[in-house]
Amino acid sequence: MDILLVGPSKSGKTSIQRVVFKKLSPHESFFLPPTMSVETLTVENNPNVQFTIKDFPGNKEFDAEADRAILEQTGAIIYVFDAQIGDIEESCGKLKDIIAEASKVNEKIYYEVFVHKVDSDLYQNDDQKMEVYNDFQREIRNELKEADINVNITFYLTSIYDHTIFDALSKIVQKLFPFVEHLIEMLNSLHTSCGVEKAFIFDIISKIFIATDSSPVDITHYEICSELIDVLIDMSCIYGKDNLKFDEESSTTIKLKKGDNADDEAGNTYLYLKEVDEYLVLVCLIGEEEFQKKHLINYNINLLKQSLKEIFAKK
Amino acid sequence: MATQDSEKVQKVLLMGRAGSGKTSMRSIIFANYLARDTYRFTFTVDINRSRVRFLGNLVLSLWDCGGQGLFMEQYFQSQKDQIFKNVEVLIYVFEVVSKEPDKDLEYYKNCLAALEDLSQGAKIFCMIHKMDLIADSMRDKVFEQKQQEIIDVSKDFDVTCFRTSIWDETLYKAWSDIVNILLPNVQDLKSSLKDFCDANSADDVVLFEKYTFLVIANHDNIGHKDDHRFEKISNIIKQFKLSCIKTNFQFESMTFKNSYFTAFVEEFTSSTYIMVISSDPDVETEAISFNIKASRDYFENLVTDSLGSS
Ligand SMILES: Nc1nc2c(ncn2[C@@H]2O[C@H](COP(=O)(O)OP(=O)(O)OP(=O)(O)O)[C@@H](O)[C@H]2O)c(=O)[nH]1
Ligand SMILES: Nc1nc2c(ncn2[C@@H]2O[C@H](COP(=O)(O)OP(=O)(O)O)[C@@H](O)[C@H]2O)c(=O)[nH]1
Ligand SMILES: [Mg+2]
Ligand SMILES: [Mg+2]
Repeated sequence: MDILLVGPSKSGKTSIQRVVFKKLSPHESFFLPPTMSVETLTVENNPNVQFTIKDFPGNKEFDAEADRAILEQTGAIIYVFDAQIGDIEESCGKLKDIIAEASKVNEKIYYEVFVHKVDSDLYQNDDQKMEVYNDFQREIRNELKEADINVNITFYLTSIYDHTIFDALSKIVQKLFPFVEHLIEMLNSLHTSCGVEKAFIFDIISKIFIATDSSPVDITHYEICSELIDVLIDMSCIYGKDNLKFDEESSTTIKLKKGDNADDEAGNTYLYLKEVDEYLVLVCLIGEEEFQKKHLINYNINLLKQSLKEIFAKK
Repeated sequence: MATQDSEKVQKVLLMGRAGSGKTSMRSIIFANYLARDTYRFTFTVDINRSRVRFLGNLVLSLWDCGGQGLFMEQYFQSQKDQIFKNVEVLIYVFEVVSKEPDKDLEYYKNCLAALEDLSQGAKIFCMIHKMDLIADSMRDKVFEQKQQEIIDVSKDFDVTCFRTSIWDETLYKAWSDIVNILLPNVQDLKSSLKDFCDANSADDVVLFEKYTFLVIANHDNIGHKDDHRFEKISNIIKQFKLSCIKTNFQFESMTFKNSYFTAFVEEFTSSTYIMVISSDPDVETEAISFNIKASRDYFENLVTDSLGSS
C-alpha cells in the first residue's frame, strides 16, 4: 500500500517524510535540496504494518494512463499545501486535476490535504489556522462540484515543529489497514475492563500510532506518550546491551502526580508501556486507583497480545 | 526552611554579540523553553536580570546583556562599575559562524579588561555556539581553531571553551560543567554516591538538579563507554518533563527496562532527582527502590553541604 506525497515545490513534502520517518530534526529541514525524482521509502518495522511513502518532485501532475501502475498501488494521496505562501485557488485547481486522473484508475484512494507550516507568526492563534483551513476546504469543494467529481477529502492542520504531523500521518496509516478495527475494539475493552483512561498502539520506530480506543484523542496525551517512547529508546540505546534497544521485556512505568495548576479532581496517573508485538507497543494512561490492579491490567494486555498474534497470523 | 542567610548569591554575566544565542540558552536551561520556541525571541534591550534558584540555596543572578553595539558601548563606559563589579562568572557566547569575528574578539577583550579591574577572581567560560550550523565532519577542526583564537587573546586569564548548540545535548554538558564549579564541596556527595552505587551493585548512579536537570554528581561502576550519556539523558528527560507540564502533571518516578537493564529515575532530595542503573539479575528492583527512599534524608544534607558555607 502506497502513500503519495504531492503538492507544490517547497511546500514541505520531503521535510515531512524525513522528520517522521528518518528522525531529521525539524530545523535541519531548512537545508533539504529540491526533490528531482520520486523517492521511495518503505516502513516495515513490523512485518504486518508495512507501507511505502513516495515523495514526488514539486508540482508532479498525474495522468490516468501514464501513471496507471503507480495509482493502482496507491492507498492514499496527501496533498501538501504551504499555508505560509501558498495560493489556495491555484492549489485547488491542481489538486482537482490530480483527483480527476487518479479516480479514473483507482476508486479506493483516500485523499488527504495537509494545510501545512501553520507554525509561523502568521498563525499564532487557532482562529487564524481555522481561516485557511476553511477557505481551502470551501474552494476545493466548489472545484470538485463544478467538475462533477465525487470523492471524500480529509483535512489536517500540520507542522513539522510539533506533533500535529505525527497525528495526521497516524490517522492516514490507520485507514490502510483493515485490522485496525479489531485493535480499536480490543483497546475499548481494555478501557471498560480495567479502567484504562487512554490507550495507544504505537509503531515504536516511527512513533505513528496504528490504533487508539474510541475516546477522543487529546494531542497532549499523544505527545506525552510519544515523548515517553523517546526516553525509553534513548535509555535503551545507552544502557541496553549490544544496541539491543527493544525486546519482549521492554517496558516503562511512570508515576505522574498532578501539577500545581491542576484541578482538584485530577488525581495521580500512571503511564504504562508494554511490548505487544515486534516493534509495536501499547502505551496507556491509567488512574492511580486502577493501577493498583496491575495484575488485571497485565492479564488483559496479554490477551490483547494473543489476539494480535492471531489477527496477524490470519492475514 | 532556608533562611535568607544561608542563601548564596552568585553573579553570572552572559555576554556576546546580538543574536549569538544568550537569551535562547538561558531560557532553555532555566526557564523550560524548547529549542524550537526560541526563534521568536527579539533582541534583548539593555540588560535582563533574572534570579534562578539552584539546588535550593544557590541563587544565580543572571545578567543577560543585550548585545547590540549601542548597549555594548555603554557597558564599558557609564555602566561599567555596575556590571563588572562582584562578578563570579563570565559566560561569553561566540556565534561560530560570525559576520564580524574580529569585533566579537574585540568586545570579549574589553570584558576581560573590565573584569581585571573590577572582579579579579571571576571565572571565564566561552561558548562557541550554534555548532549545528557547521557540517559534522568539520566541527572538531572549526572548534579547535576558534578555541585557539580565544585562548590567544585571553592572555593571563584561565578560560574554558565549550562547543554548544541548543539543538543537542552539548548545551547541557557546558552548563553542567559550569555549575559544578560553583559547588565547592561536591566531593563528599560524589563519594557517598559511590557507596550507594556499591551497596546496590548498581552500574551507574547520577544526581540531577530538580528544575534544570543539569548533572550535579555521578558515580560509574563499570566504565561506561559513552561519556556524553548524562547530558543526552538530561536533554531527553527535560523534554519529557515539559510535556508533563503541558498536561498539568509532574513526574515523580520512572522505570525503564529491557531484558538487560533497569533504570530508575526518581524524585530524590528536595532539589534533586536520582537515576540508578542496574543490570545485575540478582538484585531485586524493589530493593533498589527501597534504598533510594531510605537514603533520601542522608543525601538531603550532603546536597546542602555541597554548596559550601556562605
Ligand atoms: N515553518 C515551517 N517550515 C517548514 C515546514 N515543513 C517544511 N518547512 C520548510 O519548507 C522548505 C521546503 O521543504 P521541502 O521539504 O524541501 O519541500 P518539498 O515539498 O519537498 O519541495 P520539492 O522537493 O521542491 O517539491 C524547507 O525550508 C523546510 O524547512 C513546517 O511545518 N513549518
Ligand atoms: N542554529 C542555531 N540557532 C540558534 C542557536 N541558539 C540560538 N539560536 C537562534 O539565534 C537567534 C538569536 O537568539 P537570541 O537568544 O535572541 O540571541 P541573543 O541576542 O544573544 O540573546 C534565535 O533565532 C535563536 O533561535 C543554536 O544553537 N543553533
Ligand atoms: Mg522534496
Ligand atoms: Mg537576547
